[in-house]
Amino acid sequence: MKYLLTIYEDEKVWDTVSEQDGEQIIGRYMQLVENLREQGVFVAAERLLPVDSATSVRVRDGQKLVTDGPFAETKEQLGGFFLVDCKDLDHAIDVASRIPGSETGTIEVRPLWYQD
Amino acid sequence: MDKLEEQKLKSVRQQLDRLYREQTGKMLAYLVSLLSDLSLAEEVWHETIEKALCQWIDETPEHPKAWLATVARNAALDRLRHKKLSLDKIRLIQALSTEENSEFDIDAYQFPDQQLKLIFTCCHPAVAFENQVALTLHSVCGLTTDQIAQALLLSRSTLEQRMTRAKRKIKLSNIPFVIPPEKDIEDRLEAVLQVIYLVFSAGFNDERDAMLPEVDLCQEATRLAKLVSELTANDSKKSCEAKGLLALMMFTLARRAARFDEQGNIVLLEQQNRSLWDWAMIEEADQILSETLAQKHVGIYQIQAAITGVHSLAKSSEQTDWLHIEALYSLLLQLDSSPVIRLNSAVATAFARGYEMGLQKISQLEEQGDLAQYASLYSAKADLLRRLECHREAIGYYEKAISLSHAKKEIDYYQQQIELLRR
Repeated sequence: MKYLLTIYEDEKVWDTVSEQDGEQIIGRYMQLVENLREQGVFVAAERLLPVDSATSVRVRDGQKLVTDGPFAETKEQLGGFFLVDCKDLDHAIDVASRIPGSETGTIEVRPLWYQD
Repeated sequence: MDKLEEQKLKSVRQQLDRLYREQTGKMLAYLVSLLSDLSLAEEVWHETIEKALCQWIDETPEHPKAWLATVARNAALDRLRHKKLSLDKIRLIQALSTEENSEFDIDAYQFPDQQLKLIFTCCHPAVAFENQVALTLHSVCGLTTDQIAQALLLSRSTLEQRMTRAKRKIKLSNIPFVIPPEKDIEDRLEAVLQVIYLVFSAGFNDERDAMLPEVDLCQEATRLAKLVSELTANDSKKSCEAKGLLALMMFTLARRAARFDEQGNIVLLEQQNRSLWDWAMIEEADQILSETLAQKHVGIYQIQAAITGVHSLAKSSEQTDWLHIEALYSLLLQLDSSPVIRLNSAVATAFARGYEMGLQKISQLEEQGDLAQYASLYSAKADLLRRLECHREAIGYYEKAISLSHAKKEIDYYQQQIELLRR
């Protein structure tokens, strides 16, 4: 079953991380992707640009509304995701707990829509 | 409907109610292992009960349990045939189908693993805690929605919503029916024990004793703890905390008859009439705890049971070994230093080493502020001040406790203390 693991973190944390530590974290992400690939679990994973690059779009009564910034102001922002193919929720939780972002932020585990 | 038929229907209903309570945990565990779907398993089980209700009026089977198990199993196999199946499941059906016409003797099977899997699923951390409690009572204990709603003081619709949410979550997010892997099992077992203890506390703190509710949550919790300790019996480390919790609950339950007086007022441990305690239960709890402690996998429930045990085994309140209790609290604090435990430990110090010393510790806790909204902090302080004959200060703290408490009997008790101090 496919699960989307979205990574929510306070972006500002990255401002305080030294270049060396930053590289180390990126390295851990790469390693995780590699492991998941070997285990046949990996589908996709991407990192997003900071939330100040976000644009929100709404269409109401045929009228397109485009605004600067994310839909909701929150303390933690969506910073990236993993799309994985797991046996069950326990498996997905296990993968989520291996994402470095889980140590400072929150990983939301959501099953992809499926029809019974 | 003539009178005879009516009587017959009533007796069949009663028999089925009893069987439902007794067999649901086991049957659902078995059906889920076949169907991998809790909602579907429940559907099959409920249909089986309904079918029994229709058919048993004409003729009650010779082996009612076996009848239910056989009908439920065959209905589950029927459902499986209509699903897309893995090869393993097809083989399983083929194997079971050869027995389809034979009677299925459910008592010959205990399915310890299946039952444990069901409990772990109901208490999965991905299910909201309050929903875990409802689901466990429903699926493992076989309580009906009405019974659970009544016992947990919830409206039927709230409870139904919770159960629907919980079952939906399990199904949609694909929470597996498994015994968790070794690295997770300790946490997961702790979650199970937490649910059991909450069920117990909900029953024990319930002030509706006089109404004799038809479901005794304390008994349910004890039954669950027994079940979990039996199911984990082959692994002493895991079983120890379940047994510790069982002993803790039994020690507490044994005092139930003495904790209110005839007018329904609270009677503190100190003043309780110890001849009202259930001494057979205390002895049994003591036995369980001694055996468990001997295995040397100590944990928070075992220590709390030991503390309660020291209280219970004292011949009188004056003979309570407070130094022993204080030492046990120091041990407990190493594993769990939550504010409530620190408060209880401070009270133990007060009785072991003097009221002033206890008061000092409580005042430190008060300054830290974690328990600022906790009535028992102020009542504990009031009690010690009363013993030190600082009546005016004591009254002040009882008043503070009253302003924070939500339990009517507790408030009445504080009020009485204030009146006694004013005399």
